[in-house]
Amino acid sequence: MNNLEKFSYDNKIVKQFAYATVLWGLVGMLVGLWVSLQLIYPTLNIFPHTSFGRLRPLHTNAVIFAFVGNGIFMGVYYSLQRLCKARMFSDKLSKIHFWAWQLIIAAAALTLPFGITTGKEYAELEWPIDIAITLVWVIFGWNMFGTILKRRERHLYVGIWFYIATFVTVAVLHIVNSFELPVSLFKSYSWYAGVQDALVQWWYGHNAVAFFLTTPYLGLMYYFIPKAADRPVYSYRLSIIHFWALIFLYIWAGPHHLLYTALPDWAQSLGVVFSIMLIAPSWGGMINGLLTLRGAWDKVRESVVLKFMVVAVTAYGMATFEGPMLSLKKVNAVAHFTDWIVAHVHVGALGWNGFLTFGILYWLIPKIFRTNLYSIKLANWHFWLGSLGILFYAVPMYWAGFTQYLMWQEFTPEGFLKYSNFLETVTQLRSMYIMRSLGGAMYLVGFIIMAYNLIKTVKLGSLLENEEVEAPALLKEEKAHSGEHWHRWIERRPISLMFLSLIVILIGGAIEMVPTFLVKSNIPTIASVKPYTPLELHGRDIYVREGCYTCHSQMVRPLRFETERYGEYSKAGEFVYDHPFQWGSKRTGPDLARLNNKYPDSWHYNHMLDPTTMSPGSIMPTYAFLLDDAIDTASTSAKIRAMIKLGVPYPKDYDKVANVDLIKQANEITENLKKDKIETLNDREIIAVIAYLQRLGKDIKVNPKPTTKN
Amino acid sequence: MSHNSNNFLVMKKMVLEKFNRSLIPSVKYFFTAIMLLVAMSVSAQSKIIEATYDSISLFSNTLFVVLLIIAILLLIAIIVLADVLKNISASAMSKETDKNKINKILSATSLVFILSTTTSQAQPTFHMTYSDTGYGGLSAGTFYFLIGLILFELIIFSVLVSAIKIFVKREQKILGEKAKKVVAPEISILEKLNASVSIEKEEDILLDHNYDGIRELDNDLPPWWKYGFYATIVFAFLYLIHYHVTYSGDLQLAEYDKSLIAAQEAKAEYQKLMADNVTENNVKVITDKNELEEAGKIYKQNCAACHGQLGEGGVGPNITDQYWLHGGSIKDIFISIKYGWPDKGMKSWQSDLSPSKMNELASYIMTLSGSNPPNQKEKQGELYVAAGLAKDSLLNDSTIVAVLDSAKVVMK
Repeated sequence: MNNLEKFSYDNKIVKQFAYATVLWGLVGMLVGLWVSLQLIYPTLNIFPHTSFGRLRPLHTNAVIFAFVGNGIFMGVYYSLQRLCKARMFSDKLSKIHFWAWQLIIAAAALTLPFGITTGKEYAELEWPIDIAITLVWVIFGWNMFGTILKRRERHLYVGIWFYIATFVTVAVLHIVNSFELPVSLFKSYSWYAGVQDALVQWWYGHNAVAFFLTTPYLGLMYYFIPKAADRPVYSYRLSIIHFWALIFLYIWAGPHHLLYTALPDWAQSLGVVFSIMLIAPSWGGMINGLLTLRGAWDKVRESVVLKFMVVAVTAYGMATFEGPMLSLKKVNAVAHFTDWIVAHVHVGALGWNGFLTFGILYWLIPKIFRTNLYSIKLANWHFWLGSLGILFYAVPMYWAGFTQYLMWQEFTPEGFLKYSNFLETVTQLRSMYIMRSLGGAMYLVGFIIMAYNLIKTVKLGSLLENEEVEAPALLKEEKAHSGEHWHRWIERRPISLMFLSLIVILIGGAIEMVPTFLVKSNIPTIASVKPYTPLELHGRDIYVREGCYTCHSQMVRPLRFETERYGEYSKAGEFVYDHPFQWGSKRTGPDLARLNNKYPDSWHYNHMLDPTTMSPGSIMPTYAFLLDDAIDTASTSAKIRAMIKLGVPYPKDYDKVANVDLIKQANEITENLKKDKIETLNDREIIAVIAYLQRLGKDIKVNPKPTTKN
Repeated sequence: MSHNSNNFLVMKKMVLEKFNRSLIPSVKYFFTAIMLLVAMSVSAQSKIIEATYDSISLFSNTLFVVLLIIAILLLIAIIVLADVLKNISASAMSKETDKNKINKILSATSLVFILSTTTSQAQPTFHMTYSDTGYGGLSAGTFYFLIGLILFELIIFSVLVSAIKIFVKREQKILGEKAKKVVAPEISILEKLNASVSIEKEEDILLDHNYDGIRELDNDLPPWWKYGFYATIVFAFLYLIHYHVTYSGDLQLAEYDKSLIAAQEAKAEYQKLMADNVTENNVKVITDKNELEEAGKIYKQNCAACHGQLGEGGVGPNITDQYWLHGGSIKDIFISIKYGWPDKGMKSWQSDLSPSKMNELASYIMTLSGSNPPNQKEKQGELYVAAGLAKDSLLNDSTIVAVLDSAKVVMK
């Protein structure tokens, strides 16, 4: 004990990330409230830039990567230094990490409203930002491992295992899912097509939940709950088993987002069973968190920090039980495409991520500012408003989900859909949407109260930028204790731990993806399915730009009530030229996979101009600007070249003549519209959109034959 | 120091012994139970499908699934409680006779459990009929059976809970007597359930880890958690075997085909019953006022968007003039509605409207003929004249009036 080293913890970086968490949380939730109101009052869509399809990705990106992202970094930078008994590896890297991450968020906020998007859920940001994210992530990892390597604590605490697994897995997920071919600075096409793109995307999407919203927060839980409660962690051996089981099993479960779709059955079944096996490992985290509070429940009654944390962990437990249940096919058939899923993810986001972040903020800000929380009373108000807000949000959304499913699937005794007009199933939900917005508003008000409370607290105290501490240096020898737990071995070897977790998470993804890519029988081709015409391709890009997939699916499931409503169920071979796939995950509007010839061109024209003229009561935004804006024909050849590079079989040198075909088809549509007394120029975006919408489902249309025999 | 570590070792040994003695046999017990349950449900399921091949699978009935899940969850709770009871009894009971008693109780519960599953298999009335709306689409037999099963399980559940309570109390009493002046440690059900070391004794399992002041205990995995985990793994294997090795389960397309066949048969049955079998070959003009009014509503909902509120035309053609693109007889209009003209933007309505509804609608559209609403779209197609009237006689104004009059008659 004589060679004590003096060093300090960097609290300034923690403060910065904490401020960013609050700021972006506010932005993300405001946008969330706004889009929820748009579903009640469609006039709130106002500008093209603020239409639902463009703002909804902004909401999801802001709360996941800006609010929770900064929350992760705040908690990691605070806890990692203390768990390693070392200052962060490099203040410069910390600084670059912080500012670069905020820049990325700003770039997202500036590009998404302009329709600059890849069209893949939770990975909408375009390729230059994707590259920036990769670089910042490397900086984060570098800084983290640098700190771990110079630690003064021999063994790595369970929280750090979770941070390491988060780092490697998010890196793998982001890189693999972001494979895209740039067409221009702001446009790229996904490397994968159709079913394969869907599998990669939901492997990513599911594990973004797992490794961005779950594992880092479990790591934070393992630090902040024992600290705040001043209790030992309940079970060391439980943490070992649930950690390894969780990261191994999670990665397999992605296909449960694609049940009853054109994904091969075997992959769907793997998604089901691995989701079911996830219950226990997920609950392992909840148990270890809650049982750590054994003997401290009297503190929970008094400490608002612990109250937030208990609700967070409980919400985690509920969401991770519900998730596997939703993976059972019968349940999934009910919930998929409905508001049930919206309820489910918000229990996780508002309850688990939100409340844990709040608990940490209330604990940490007074600590680094060397003062007490400005008002415990206000924090309690926040707690109750937030909890009620979650209830008011979730219950109406569950209700809406059930209602919509029940209406979708109800048949009359004559064997017809009882609610054959999809719109009826939308207008029915209005009152529930109002309740949901109310819940969201309550949660937001609580958040604003917290922001006020924290600002006041900051003003009361002064930041301890560098917290002086001392600890003995780590001796070089790495001898194992006799009789120690076998897992201690790897806790002394951070690099081995990283590689082992990398191997563990690669297994599931590889087993599911490799056969889907290599084995032909998984995606049976259909001879009649042809590449999109240049005009349709432009229309498709506009469809992606406007975020139509946020409300419309293109996936008819083989369920009687769906084929009856939309037509033949979707086949894997139909999507082979879809870069990216646009199956969607939510049906606020009807499925569009079989739109071909359902309505005349003029219907679409009028419907885009003002949806309520063709569908009274519709809550779709107006797309009048499509009638004025011209198609970007200058980019046609670049787009065709990119598609050829991705393997789409256009004729040789087609990029040079593509615009000729484009104009020819545009003229046909313009003529068609003229017949219905609609005069329009042939180069307007609406023409391309009509061409694309009329193409949907055309290729596999067999001769018109009654779907039900009489 | 040495005293402490010695104490710790003794404690650890005790915990381990207890663990081995009471839990390992129950693993076997639990596994057999789960296997049994799965086997039963699989065979029951195949039976159901056989029995109701012509109707909809029971598993697509939400109520049924919910009740079944409740029943299964209760069953799991019962198994866990039985496990706890066994655990407690093993530590609380010293006399051989008492142990026998416990074993008797346990075998009785397992017997009951097996009985309940076998009766569920033997239940003959797994029927779903449309008319049975009183039980959420379930037949009375199925409904009451499931409710009965759940009640039954609830009874066993409460018996087990009270039994555990009694044992815990007794144990506390014994402990209290044993060490009257020492602290009587509180033993809660939760601790038994989780097999955790009580807070008073946690020093014994406190590891020497210390991270920024965070210590770690070395509690055992909660048994219910561990066996739950095993159960999900078993489920995973059985699921994959069921669908991809033995092919005993229907994958999505097979399931879909069956649901279509079932629906078709149900529909045929219903149409036979309701005589709703209008086709283009036997369609007739309907003149009943109520039915036409009803058809007017259908028109407003489905047709007005394209053909105008009054039939004056819009995106679709004018249907109030005498000119028709695809013929103006009741048969022609019926065909246009039923099959549509998809190339021209008119969709087929036969999957939205029943034959009789399409018949009413076609009749309603005939009444619009000659109604002469404002903003009419230009005429398209050929002049259609009702059978019995010569084309050229239409040039005569009086005949037109006559045609219009006949239309008005229909409207009344």
